[in-house]
Amino acid sequence: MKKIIALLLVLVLAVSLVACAGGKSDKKTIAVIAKGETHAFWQAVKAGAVAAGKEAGYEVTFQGPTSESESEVPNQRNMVEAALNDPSVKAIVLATIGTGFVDQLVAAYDKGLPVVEFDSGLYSNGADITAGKDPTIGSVATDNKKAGGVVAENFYAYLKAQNVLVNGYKVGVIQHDATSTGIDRAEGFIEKIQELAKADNITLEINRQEKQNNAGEYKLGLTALTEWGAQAIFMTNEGVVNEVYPEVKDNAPTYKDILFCGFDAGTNQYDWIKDNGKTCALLVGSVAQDSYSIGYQAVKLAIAKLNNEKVSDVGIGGQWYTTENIDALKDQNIFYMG
Amino acid sequence: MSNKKNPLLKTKGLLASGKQNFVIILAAIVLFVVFYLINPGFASSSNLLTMTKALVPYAILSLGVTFVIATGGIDLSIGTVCFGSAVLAGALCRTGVSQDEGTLWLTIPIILSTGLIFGLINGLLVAKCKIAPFIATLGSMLFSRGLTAVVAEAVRGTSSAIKYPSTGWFQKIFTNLNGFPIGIIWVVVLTVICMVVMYKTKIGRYILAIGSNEEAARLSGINTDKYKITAYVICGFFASMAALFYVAANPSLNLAAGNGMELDAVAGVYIGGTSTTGGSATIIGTILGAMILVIIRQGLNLAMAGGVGISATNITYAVTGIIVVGAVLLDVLKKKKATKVKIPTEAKKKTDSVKQ
Repeated sequence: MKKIIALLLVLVLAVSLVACAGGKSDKKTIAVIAKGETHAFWQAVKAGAVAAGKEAGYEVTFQGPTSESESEVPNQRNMVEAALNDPSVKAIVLATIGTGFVDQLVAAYDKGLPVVEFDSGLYSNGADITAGKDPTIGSVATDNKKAGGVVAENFYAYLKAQNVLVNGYKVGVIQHDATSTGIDRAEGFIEKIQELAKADNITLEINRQEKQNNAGEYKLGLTALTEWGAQAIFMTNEGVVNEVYPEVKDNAPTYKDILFCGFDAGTNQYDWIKDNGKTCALLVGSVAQDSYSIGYQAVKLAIAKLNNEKVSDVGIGGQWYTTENIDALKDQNIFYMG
Repeated sequence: MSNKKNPLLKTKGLLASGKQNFVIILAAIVLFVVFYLINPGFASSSNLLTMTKALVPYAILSLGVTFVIATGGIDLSIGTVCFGSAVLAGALCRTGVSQDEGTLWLTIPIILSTGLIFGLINGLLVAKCKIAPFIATLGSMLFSRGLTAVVAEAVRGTSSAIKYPSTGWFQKIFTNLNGFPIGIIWVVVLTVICMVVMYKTKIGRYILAIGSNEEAARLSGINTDKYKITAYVICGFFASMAALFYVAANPSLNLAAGNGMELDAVAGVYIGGTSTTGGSATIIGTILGAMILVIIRQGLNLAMAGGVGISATNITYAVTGIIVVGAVLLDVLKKKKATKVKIPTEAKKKTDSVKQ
C-alpha cells in the first residue's frame, strides 16, 4: 500500500512534469531575469525585451521574483541557475534584488554567457562579481540626468509658450533624497533649464530643496519654496508627488499660481494631471521612466554582443507625458497607476 | 506456529525506519532521473553544486528540529530565530558588503548565542510553564522576529538590507572553499554528531522516551523537564548555526526571508519519517527528507525554465504540500498496519490455545 502510494505520487509528478516540459528545439533564447514580473513597470520592460528578441530571431524568457525584497534572493538565484542550465540560453539580462550570486556569475563567465545589467543592475554595484571572472558586458538603465533634462526641455517649452518667463523667474526643485537618483534628476533638470533660459537671454532663480525622506519632509520643502515665491516647481519622484499633491489640493488657493512638473508615475500623478488645473494648481507634465526602452535596449545589447559587435552602456532618457498622451502611455504600460 | 510470525516483528522493529529510508532514496533517485530527462542541465556539475549549497541550511535546521519533534513537540520559531540572529548580528557588528566593514568574526558568537537563548526560552515555556509547544514557539517566532528587527532598526536605522560580504573567509568556511561546497562536510559531521547524541547518549534516549510516553518516562525517574529543555536548546542552536550557512550564501538579508523556512525544515523531517507524534526519530531520514525537498525545488525550477509561463516557486509549494501529507500518511498507514497485524495474531493465539 505504502509503496503504491509513494510510486503513484512520483508518477503523478513525473507525468505532469513531462507534460509541462514540451519538446526541445534549436531555439536561441535570451533569458531576462528582472526584480519583478507582475508590476506594470516590468510588464512594459518585458514587452520591450520580447520585441527586441523577435526582431533578431531570438526567443526571450522573462522572469522575476514575486516581491522586490532580499527574501526572494534564493528564488531569483534559482531562475539564474535555470538559465545557466538551459542550453538554448545564449545571454542573460539581469537585475538582482540582493547579493548571493557569486557562483552564478562565475559560472556564466566560465560558460561564456554574456550578462547585461539592466534597470538597477547588479545589487550593491556588483559586490558579487569575482575579480577576473566578470561576465557583465554593459548596462542599460534610466539615465536620471538625461531624464531630468527631458523634464526641463518640455517644461521650459510650456513656460515659453505661456509667455510667463521673465528675468528672475523663480524655479524650485524638491529633490527626494541625497542618493545618486535624486541628485542626478535634480542636476539634469537644473542644468538643462538654465541652458535653455540662457539661450533666450533669461536668468532664472533656482532653489533646490533636498529632503531625506517622505515623512512630511517634502511638504516642508513645498512650504519653503512657496514662501520663497517659487513660480514653478519640479518634483523628482513619485514619493514627492504623493506628498505634495494632497497639500496642493487641500489648500488650493495658496498654490494656485505655481506650475508643477513631476517624475515617475502613479495614481496621484494621474489624478493631478487629469485635473488639468481645474480645482488646484496645474501639473503641467511629468516624465515616466521609459520601461519599454529599457527592456528593448537591454536585449538588443545582448544580441549585439552575441553578434560580436562593439557594445557600450546605454542610458535611457524618459517619456514626457501630459494630459494629452497619458492615457496612451497607460495603455502601453509605460505609465502605471501603482 | 506463532514463532513463524517473528519475521513480521523484525520488519516492524529493525527494518521499519530502514524501509522508509529506502522508499525515500528510491523516490529521490526516480525524481532525479525524471528531472534529468526533462532538463539534462539538472545533472550538470554547476547545478549539483547549487543544490548541495541550497541543502546545507535546510538540512541543519531540520537536524535540530528533529530533536524537538522526537519529544512530540514542534518548534515554529526556527525560521525567524535563524534570520533574526543573522540580522541582529549584522546590525550590531555593522557588517557590510566589504570585509573591512564592521567586525565580521564577532557575528558568529552573537548568532550562536541568540539561537541558544531562544532555544532556552522555548524549552522553559514548554517544559516549565506547560504551554503547548505550538503556542509557545508561535509566540517566540513572532517575538524573535519583532525583537531582532527592533534592535536592528535602533542600531542601524533599518532591519532590511542588512549586508554581509559576498566573498571572503566567511564563505571559505561555510559555503565555498575554492569551488568546493564545504557546507556539505559540515552537514555530514553534524549528522554524525546528531546520530550519536540521538541513539547513543542518555540525552537522545530520554528525548525519545519522553516522545513515546512522557508520563511513563517521568515515572521511571527521568527528569523530563530537563531533557525537553535540552531538545529545544539543541534546536535553537542548530537554527542559529543554519543562519551562518544561509548568510554565507545569501549575504544581503531581509527579516522577511525567514518566513516559512521553519515549515520547509519541519516538512523535511516529516518526509524523512520521524514520527509526528514523537517517540521515534530518524536522523538520516531527516537529511534525506531535506534532500528530496531540494531536488523537487530545483528540479521543478529547471523543468519550468522553458518559459511555460508558470512560476516554479508556486508549483513547488503545491508539490511539497502533497509530498508532506503523503509522507505523513505513510507513517499513519505504517502504524495502522502494525496495530492491525498485532490484534488478529493475539486473537488467533488465544483461539488456538482455546482449541488445544
